[in-house]
Amino acid sequence: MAVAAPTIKRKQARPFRKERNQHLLMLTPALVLLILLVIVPVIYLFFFGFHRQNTFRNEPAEWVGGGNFTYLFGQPNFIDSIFKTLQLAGVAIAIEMTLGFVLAAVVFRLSSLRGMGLVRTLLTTPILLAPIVAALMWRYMYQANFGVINFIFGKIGLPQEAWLANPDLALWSVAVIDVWQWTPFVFLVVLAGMYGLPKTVYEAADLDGTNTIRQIVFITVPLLWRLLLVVLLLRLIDLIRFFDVIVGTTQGGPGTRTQTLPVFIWVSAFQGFSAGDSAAASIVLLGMAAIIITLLIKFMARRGLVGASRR
Amino acid sequence: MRRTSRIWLLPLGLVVMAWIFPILWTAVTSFKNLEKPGTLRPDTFTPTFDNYVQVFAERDFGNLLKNSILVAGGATIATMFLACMASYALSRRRFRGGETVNSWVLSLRMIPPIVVVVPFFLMLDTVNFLDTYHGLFLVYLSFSLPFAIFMLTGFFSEIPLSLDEAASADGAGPMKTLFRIVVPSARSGIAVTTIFTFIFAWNEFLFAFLLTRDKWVTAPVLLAATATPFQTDWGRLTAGGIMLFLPLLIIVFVLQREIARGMTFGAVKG
Repeated sequence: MAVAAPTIKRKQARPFRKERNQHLLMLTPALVLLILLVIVPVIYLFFFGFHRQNTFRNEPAEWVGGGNFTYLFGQPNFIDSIFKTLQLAGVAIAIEMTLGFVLAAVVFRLSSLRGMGLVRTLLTTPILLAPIVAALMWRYMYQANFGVINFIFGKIGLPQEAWLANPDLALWSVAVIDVWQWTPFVFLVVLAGMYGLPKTVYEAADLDGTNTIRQIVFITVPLLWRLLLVVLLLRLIDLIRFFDVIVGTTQGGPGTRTQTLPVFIWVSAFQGFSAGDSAAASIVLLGMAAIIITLLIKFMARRGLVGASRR
Repeated sequence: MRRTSRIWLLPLGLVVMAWIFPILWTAVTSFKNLEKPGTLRPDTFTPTFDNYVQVFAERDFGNLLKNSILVAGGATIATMFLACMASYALSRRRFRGGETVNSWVLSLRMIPPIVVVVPFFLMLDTVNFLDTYHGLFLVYLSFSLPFAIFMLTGFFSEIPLSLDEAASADGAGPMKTLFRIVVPSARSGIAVTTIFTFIFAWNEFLFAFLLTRDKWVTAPVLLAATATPFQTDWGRLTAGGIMLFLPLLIIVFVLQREIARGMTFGAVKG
């Protein structure tokens, strides 16, 4: 016994250490690629943020210190693009969260009826459509002369507008496309959250004669608030990087009315040829994203969802 | 309770109709001949396949769909292989710092692509990878790998450790355990992850738009280029859009359950 014990111990310990090393080896290829493909570009981005460089000509980059940033923050267009990004995100998120929640509550209430599965599937389809295709579809429907929206609005007596060409409307017309595409996401997640709640709470509330609205306000929302927050942050991170749809519809116009921060970055790099300015603007956007990502990880980790941990 | 709920059916029906209308309208338009005078009016409809024939004949759309399939398919296969290994290692928790790597991967997944596209452009330009298959393929790994690792780590964590302990007692190494035991047990999670990795790559626009010029242009980029502000052939454009969406639509209806699960994963547990 006294002789055998250490051998057993070593036999258990050795495969474990060997296994650990093998696991690290399995992780390595993906990690190396991620460092090369994400971390290196971000370092490169910081390099250009402090240099002057033409996007298309291979001249040596010239160190300008914080010059790109002071230049940008002196530009009304840049400040405006941040403001427009937040405007667009705020309005779209408010509508998506409200509508998505109400839809989920209704479908949850009606879930015993036939056809609710079909409702869910039909509402899912917009999410799968490529954003660029969604943008082009809506651009077609938004046409002032022969677009179907003006056609229908004319029939039922609503105002007909040049939805994407009118400076007062363009940003909101673009927001509608995002609302159309992503309200279903809020709906799906909130609905899944509702199905995950204990049924007994609602049964008790039903017995007490609590009506549906009160049940939602006093039971569903308090129980789901953290989930709602995660959904909101996920939408926010998506909306500050919202790009495809604007390129597919207005390309930032009319004038610069829909030139949000991502569009500004694109324009300054590929139309203004200034990799430096665009990198500096990208760093600002990256900073905004970092704040949201930090919050998201905090809340998702508390739900035990990062790596679906807590075994 | 049930009776009062039913009054919600009508508004719900209206919302669902409003939500699928844009897709239906696109489908209808793709079968219209918009070149005949007067056909631009929304209320005329004489079905024709012309747009589909022409989009393939004139715009070389078939070739671009092939590019899309090769880039998205290739990136998906490579991503799944690498992510399976990485997620297995992360989910078995045999080393410290796994949790940190997890959060790090999750945050990489959320970096705005527009932020890295200019560095990508300059880097690919330096090594002459612009407008090449391997260039686009590598760039696509940058967003599909973090996504797949995040998803798979969650799914693999649900597979009990006792399963692979039994396998390793039989003398199987980690790679064998992963591909013989864990991957088959996590089938539906693998399916969900593969589908979404493919959909994201298939729908990707920004990188393909700015990092290709000619040879490796993908189908979504052509569609965007077709829609010029001056004259747009909406018939062919909608036909192309439908061609791009159709494979995804089939997937949705065949795999409803997996799709719903995949979309809510990460916010709601599997």
